Amino acid sequence: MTGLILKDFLILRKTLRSYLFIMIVYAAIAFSGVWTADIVGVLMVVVLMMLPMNIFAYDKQCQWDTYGLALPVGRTKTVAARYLCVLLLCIFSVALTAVLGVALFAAGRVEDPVEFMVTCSVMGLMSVLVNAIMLPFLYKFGPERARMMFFGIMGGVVLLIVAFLFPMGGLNWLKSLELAEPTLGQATIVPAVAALAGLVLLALSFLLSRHFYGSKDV
Amino acid sequence: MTNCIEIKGLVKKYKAFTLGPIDLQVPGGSIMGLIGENGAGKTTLIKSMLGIVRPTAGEAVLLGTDPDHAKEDIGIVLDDCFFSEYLRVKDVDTVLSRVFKGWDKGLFRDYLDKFGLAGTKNIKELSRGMRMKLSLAAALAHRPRLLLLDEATAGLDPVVRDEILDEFLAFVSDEDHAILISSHITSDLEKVADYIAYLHQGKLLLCDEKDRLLESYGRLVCTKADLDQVDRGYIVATRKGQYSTEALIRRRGDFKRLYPRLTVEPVTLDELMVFIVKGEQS
Repeated sequence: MTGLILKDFLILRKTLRSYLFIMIVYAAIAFSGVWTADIVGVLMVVVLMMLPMNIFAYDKQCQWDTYGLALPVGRTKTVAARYLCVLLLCIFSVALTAVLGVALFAAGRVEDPVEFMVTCSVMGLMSVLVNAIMLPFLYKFGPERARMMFFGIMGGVVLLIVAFLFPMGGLNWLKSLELAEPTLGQATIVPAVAALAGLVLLALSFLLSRHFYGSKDV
Repeated sequence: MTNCIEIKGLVKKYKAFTLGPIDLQVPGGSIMGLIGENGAGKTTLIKSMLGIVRPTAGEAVLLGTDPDHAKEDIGIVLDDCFFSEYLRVKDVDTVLSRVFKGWDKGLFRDYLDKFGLAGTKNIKELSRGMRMKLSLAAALAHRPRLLLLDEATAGLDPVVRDEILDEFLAFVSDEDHAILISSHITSDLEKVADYIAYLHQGKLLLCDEKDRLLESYGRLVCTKADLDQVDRGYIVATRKGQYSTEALIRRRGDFKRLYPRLTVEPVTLDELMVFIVKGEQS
């Protein structure tokens, strides 16, 4: 199984280097004060949505699935390897974002590190949630169709949110809520809850993907 | 001699195509060539044997066990390189050494040297021939006992093909080893195969020793009047041209003794396929 995880990382080698570079550029922009540090977290979600799609697309391009199923690994372990790869990518991205956050805090560009920590955890959880929804689609329909379907779903979710917010007064209503600043205790609990919730979501998603891939003719 | 492949009543049904039922055996120390026109079911058969597609019925016993347990001892080469273009040649070693228990890094390096493949090269820089050599090196480096090759020599120049065919012959010099190779290049199969299986529209039409097939069948070229005199039991299929008539004849030796006046030539695998697919069946 480690061979398959390694394969995914080797394929993404160049992309990950570019990703690291872009994260540093965004952090530099946040450092200059043009954008807030939260932009790094948003970028993390976007990148973590693209990377697994890329792996599936690369695999399809070279018919890896056919070859992969001829290897002595088995379908369950093949799916598990992909999920572990995604989990590692999420952990790597959250850690990188946290490190950049600490650097920005040290440079005086993050006013409230506690709030940044909570934001970072929520973004990490969102990344996991996005992948937990997307991966079964990728296994069931393949990268091209799954991509379209997924963006359709995401578009639908955005429309629902807009439809909900509009009658309430839009973003002004959100601002009027005046949410309390997170406490240090919350900043400790939120990452732990987010990590646990992320693992549960991925586990449920894995079961669904295994079901799809188990009965699939490649 | 034990069978490395035993396929029993294997059926795979799709909406518009059904493969099988297929029954065939490949003994150890031999090469079986799988021939058939495009869409005949050759790739589906190989995929069904390995469980890459789920057979509707029947089973494949590979190396005396079920396919999932045999995969450690099976090498596979498909009609194209299945490693991503974003990998380097040496990455294949990094990945597969963690997949196969019996992976031999030294042997893989030896094959790379033998095939003139540099480990640092990106796969996207390799020609088709070099990619096929890489696939073959990857298929052989875990010391498999069974090779399943799907159009592995397609698109290669004759020199590369000859080198690869030599590898296959060396591989089956061990009585525990066997190869199933599907190919449209029947001249390659005439060179190396011990058995020939002919798939047509999902059905196994012929499966026999290659030498026996090529010896027993013959091509008769004669006039229509001559053909009308021939016992129909000898005629497999006929093709009528403007000036002459051709027929695929079975039991060539007996036929020659019975009709010494008629000329019967040896038949090639290509001719055998064309007669069966395009000829009028007798």
